[in-house]
Amino acid sequence: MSSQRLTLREAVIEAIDLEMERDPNIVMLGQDIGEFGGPLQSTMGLWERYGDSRIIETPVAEQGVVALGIGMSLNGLRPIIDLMFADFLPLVANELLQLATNLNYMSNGKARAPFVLRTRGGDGPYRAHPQNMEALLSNIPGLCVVTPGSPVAAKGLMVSAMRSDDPVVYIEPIFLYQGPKEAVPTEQYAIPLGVAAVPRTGGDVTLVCYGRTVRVMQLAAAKLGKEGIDCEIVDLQTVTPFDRETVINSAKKTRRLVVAHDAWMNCGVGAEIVATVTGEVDLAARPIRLAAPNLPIAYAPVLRDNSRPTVDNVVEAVTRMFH
Amino acid sequence: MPKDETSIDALWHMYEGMLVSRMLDEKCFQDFAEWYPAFGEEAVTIGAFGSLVDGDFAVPHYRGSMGVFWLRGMSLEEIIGGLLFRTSSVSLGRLSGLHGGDFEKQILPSVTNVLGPNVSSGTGLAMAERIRGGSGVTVIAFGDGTAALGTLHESVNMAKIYKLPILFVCQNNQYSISSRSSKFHSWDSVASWAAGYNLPSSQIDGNDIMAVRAAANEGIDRARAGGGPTLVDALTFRMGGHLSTDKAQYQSDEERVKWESKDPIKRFEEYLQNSRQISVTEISQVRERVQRNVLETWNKVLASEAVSLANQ
Ligand SMILES: Cc1ncc(C[n+]2csc(CCOP(=O)(O)OP(=O)(O)O)c2C)c(N)n1
Ligand SMILES: [Mg+2]
Repeated sequence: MSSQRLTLREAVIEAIDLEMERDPNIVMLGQDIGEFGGPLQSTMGLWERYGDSRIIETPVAEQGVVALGIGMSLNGLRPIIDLMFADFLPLVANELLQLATNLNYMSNGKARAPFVLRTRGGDGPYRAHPQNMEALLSNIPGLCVVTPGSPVAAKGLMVSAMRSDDPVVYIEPIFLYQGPKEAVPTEQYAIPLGVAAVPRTGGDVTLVCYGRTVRVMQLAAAKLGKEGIDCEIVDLQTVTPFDRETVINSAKKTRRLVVAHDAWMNCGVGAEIVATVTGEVDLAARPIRLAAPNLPIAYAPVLRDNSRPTVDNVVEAVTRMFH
Repeated sequence: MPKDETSIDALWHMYEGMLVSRMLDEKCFQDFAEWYPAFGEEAVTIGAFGSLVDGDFAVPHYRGSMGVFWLRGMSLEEIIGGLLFRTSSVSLGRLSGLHGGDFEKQILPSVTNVLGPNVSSGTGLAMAERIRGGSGVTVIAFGDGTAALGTLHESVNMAKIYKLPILFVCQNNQYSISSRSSKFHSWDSVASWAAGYNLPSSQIDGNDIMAVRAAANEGIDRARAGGGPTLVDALTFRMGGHLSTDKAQYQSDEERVKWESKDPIKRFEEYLQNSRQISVTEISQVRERVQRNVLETWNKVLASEAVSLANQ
């Protein structure tokens, strides 16, 4: 099978491109997604191929645009709504949490909304929009929230998101956006939603992560491996609803659990995972959550860098479990 | 700030304000990997906020906010400290230099990067002022892109029904990132929208600081006298990209050349010479003094203590 080395950003674009070619009902809505090539170059080349009729630029009117996209999805189209940054998710929370989430169940399956809300979040080289909002979207049933941790995952998950008959929020981590390239299969392929990946198996400790922290966990696992600690990494890929089976099985095997995410700790995804695991597994050590401290994210790099879990944080946490 | 905008003192103050804004932008553009300059928009910011007095509120748009900070009495040390994350930053480095207005000086800081909430909460500042019987006026600036947000329309409507002492100013540089606003507005002027909400409104030449100042004064006077809100659509041009890494290939050479010839600082210098008989020498003396002050302060602040986790 042929492949090409792509960044996470390029892998997402490739998934969208191939799927738009295959399915004429896919259209994209968003700001600056045309000739400009999208926020952080996230739609490069699509407008040239699909033109104004399928790459539809919008005013700065996120709330209305998301509802517009939801309506379009109820009438035969499969819109990809590009929300420039994840910082704006609270702005469209009502449309996502009280409209999109409810349609399928409340209409008894008669009104389904097959759209993808695509956005990019978290800190990164582009420092303007550092916040992570996935926990807010995880509290209400009916929404699927996806965050890829690598280019290969990014392509396959985006394909499943576009083929889903219900809403998917797809959050692209800015930190990895133009980051390490990976050989991505040229053909279209789907990675199922709701299924975690295990990029590294090990018997001593389970490291649960998604998005940027996948890379953090990989680097930490390599360091810990040298000290004789054998880590298993579980990349959630779908943050909500997360893959309980894979997480629980891994924790049953290792009996140690560390969860790391860039979002705030309080009432976060990590809390849900720890609660789920401790309800089912007798752990040998207290589980550890690594996350942003419960403060707004400051702008000055020296302050901000303190709000993200680091490789050293993970190494330190795991080492502590063995003493 | 001198009340009579045509007095010599007022003219020099406006000139200095525009220069401070431009020179800080030039320095940031040169030194930072990413910067959002307000090149060409200085007449709007300095003109619109130039008549505020103590007790009034300033709600600046993010682009060009530093000129407004200076007008409201923030020192260059504080402004530059905000840019360089030094301890003279009024937010202690928690906000970016563009967002960190000093609330003690009645500037609403931009504590969110989301466009819109400041326009609406700025409206609330004015609502409280009216209810408490104060005489303060609130000037709220926003971009032409921001103008399409629902929250802005809701606020303009409420400002009218509650007769709030507000001057809304659209800092209309014709672009929202790469999007030409004319393509995304149902009217050719934001003033037409405001007229729909029954506000006195007009589009003005946003590169002529005297015109901006006069329109702003009319609105501010009306607000202070209990006559309710006004909206001014100040038409200007973003001379360059959205941020420093954006080469703005979507702008045409024709419009670029046309608007460069309308550079508000050059135009004001011509006005000073031709209509107020001020000599070129005097003008360049002021220019050199401001340039020296900005650069010397910059270097001084650069050498001062940085913010850190320890000094929060
Ligand atoms: C609600 C919201 N949508 C999108 C953005 C991203 N964004 C940042 S600046 C900007 C341009 C807005 O245009 P305008 O209001 O005209 O201001 P200008 O940049 O031209 O000064 C956009 C869209 C944002 N910050 N907030
Ligand atoms: Mg604009």
